[in-house]
Amino acid sequence: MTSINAFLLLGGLLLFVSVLASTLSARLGLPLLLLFLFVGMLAGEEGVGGIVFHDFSTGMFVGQLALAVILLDGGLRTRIETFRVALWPAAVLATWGVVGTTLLLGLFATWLLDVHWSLALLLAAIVGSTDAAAVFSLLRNSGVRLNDRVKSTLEIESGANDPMAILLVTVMVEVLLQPDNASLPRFALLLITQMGLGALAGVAGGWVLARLLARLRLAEGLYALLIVSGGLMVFAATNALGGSGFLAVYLAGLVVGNKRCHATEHVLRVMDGLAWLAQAGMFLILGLLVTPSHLLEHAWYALAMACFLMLVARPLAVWLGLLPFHFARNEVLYISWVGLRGAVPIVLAIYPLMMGVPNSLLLFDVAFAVVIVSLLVQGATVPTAARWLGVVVPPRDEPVDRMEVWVGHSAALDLMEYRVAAGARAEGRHPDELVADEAGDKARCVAVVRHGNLLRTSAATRLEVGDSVWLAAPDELAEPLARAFAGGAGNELIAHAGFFGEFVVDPQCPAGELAAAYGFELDPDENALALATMFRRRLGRPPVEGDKLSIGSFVLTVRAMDHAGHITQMGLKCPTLPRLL
Amino acid sequence: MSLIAQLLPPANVVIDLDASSKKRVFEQAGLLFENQQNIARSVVFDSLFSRERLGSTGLGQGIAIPHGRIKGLAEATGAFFRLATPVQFDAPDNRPVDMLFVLLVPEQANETHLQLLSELAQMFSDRNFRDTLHQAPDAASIHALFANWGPHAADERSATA
Repeated sequence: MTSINAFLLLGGLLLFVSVLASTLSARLGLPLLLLFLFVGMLAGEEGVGGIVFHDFSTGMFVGQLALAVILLDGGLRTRIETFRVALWPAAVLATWGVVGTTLLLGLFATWLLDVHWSLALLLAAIVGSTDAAAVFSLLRNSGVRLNDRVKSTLEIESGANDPMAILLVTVMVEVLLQPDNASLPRFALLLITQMGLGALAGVAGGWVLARLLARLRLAEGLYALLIVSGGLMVFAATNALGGSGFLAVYLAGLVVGNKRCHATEHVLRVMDGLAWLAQAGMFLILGLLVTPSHLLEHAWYALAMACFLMLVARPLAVWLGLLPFHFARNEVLYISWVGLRGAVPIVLAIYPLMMGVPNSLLLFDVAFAVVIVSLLVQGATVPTAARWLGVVVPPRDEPVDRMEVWVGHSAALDLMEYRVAAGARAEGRHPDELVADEAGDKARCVAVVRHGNLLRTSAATRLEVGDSVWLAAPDELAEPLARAFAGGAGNELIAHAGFFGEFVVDPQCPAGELAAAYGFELDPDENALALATMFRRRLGRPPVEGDKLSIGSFVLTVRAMDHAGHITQMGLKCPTLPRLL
Repeated sequence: MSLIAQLLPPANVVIDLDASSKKRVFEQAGLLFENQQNIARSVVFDSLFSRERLGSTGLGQGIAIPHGRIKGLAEATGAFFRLATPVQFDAPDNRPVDMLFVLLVPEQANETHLQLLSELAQMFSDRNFRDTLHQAPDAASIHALFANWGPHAADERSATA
């Protein structure tokens, strides 16, 4: 009995400390994951906790479980619209990117560690894939908004590249242990079953789950549990059949998440906590598992590996992989830089250990150290590098809060809260009048809250700065409405004029008219095209909000897009005077 | 003296103009340029209006800078209008417009001419400048405001923001 209590106390304490420490991580600018890892290491055999934990199979179990939950959560939050710009680039990175990185890094490791090439390649394969947990959490908590092309490519890549890494690790383990059995056709078959079964089971499982969710009447808190348990079943069953469970569970999440039903909103809130718990638990266990002094023994090797991976192998593989997609140079650089390593490499490093590959403890320690360096260096610079490389776009105008109220089975009402900012269009207006002006008859003011009290509205009511206004409005009006409540943005006449340009132009206007208005030349066949079409053609890739194109001495920008990927508003930036001091 | 003031003759500052629509404002602008600078009013009107098809020249916060290229014009020239009542201008923030700076540039517009636009936009981004324009009692004091405007005040504030 005492041992159970001690165990529970310990587990509770570790989690408790981690939760408290999470408030610290934002202030220190450290990735939260790293913090969990350090808490685990501190509690471990060489830290203050002194817990001796070398049970790799428990580590493996927790790791797999946590990764499945994190990937499921990532899938639930990935909008299918983002596939429009990022599916193919991400697919190339998730396959070729992993192979290319592994080959380059393997060559380097063979030379550096002076080991057989197959062991070096195994090590490279272990750290070859980016980590979904790290990418999702670091991109979402970075405080900057990345342009959709970069963000979606990174997210989909990280969700989809684990099967490739797992395959490579499996292959290399086989080459090392049973060199006679290894043959190329066998590996090709393995790859096809992993990917094919994973994709099939994921989509099918997700579809069934989504249908179930739409029909079942459950207590609110149970929907998330249904999804998690369903996701785990998909994960485990796919793995058992020889497919990639990671890919399957990510896709299942994607399918469920994109079928909006009355549970979605609530499920996401619960999943938030579950994914957090999964990350904390996994990194704590992995921190416990490692022996920090061993890491230091191989510190130089790990550092050299990490540097080569971050500065040479990944950039080269990414650059080659993205060549056909005409990404801008700064986008390629940023995607290269945010090749975050996380739990996946550590979990993968446990495979060879459990299979009894010689020298595999070295692999584990080096892989672990590479992950730490990656999280420390790349993880901490996610926002800085984004600003520096110019892949950020201005923050979206959004409601302060939103709620979904379900009316019956298939109709939803979106309730959104806005706060009146100083200098906003809404200031001094009657709420109903304002809503009628901004949204016609599509939206309705439901309540106005002033100083924490519900305001009784009359014909004489005028909105004041700081009022909370609750509106019932369709989703597509969320952003336009937010602009009515946003304050005068400092010294800009319209929000983000410095980024998008002073003027707003109509994307459907013939490009020739722009050329005529300002006196510059276009290619003759471009004159009749709509501005948006001309823009798309010159860009050479599907546009995303924030894309810029120099034309004459002007810059055309994409200000807004709709869900189908059409440009709905463009900006025009005039040349500026060279300013002398 | 600022670049903008050089191309704004004192007689081209009009306050309390009565105009009921964007079109009427442009007609008034044409009339003014015809009387003051001998540019045919229809040429001015057509040039301003065709630029407007591309998208409103409203900048937000009640400001617009309609502009166009004029054949045969030797030097860029401008006019400032403060309206008695704001007019609907399809500005990006949906606010009606009550202050306009109309800019006409030669047909062979060079880099400097185009830079005038961003210069104007920057000028009007200065909230204090907008407020003083609103409160100015007569055309002469508005002209003086344009003449004395320096980018430094706005620059300093945006540097600290």
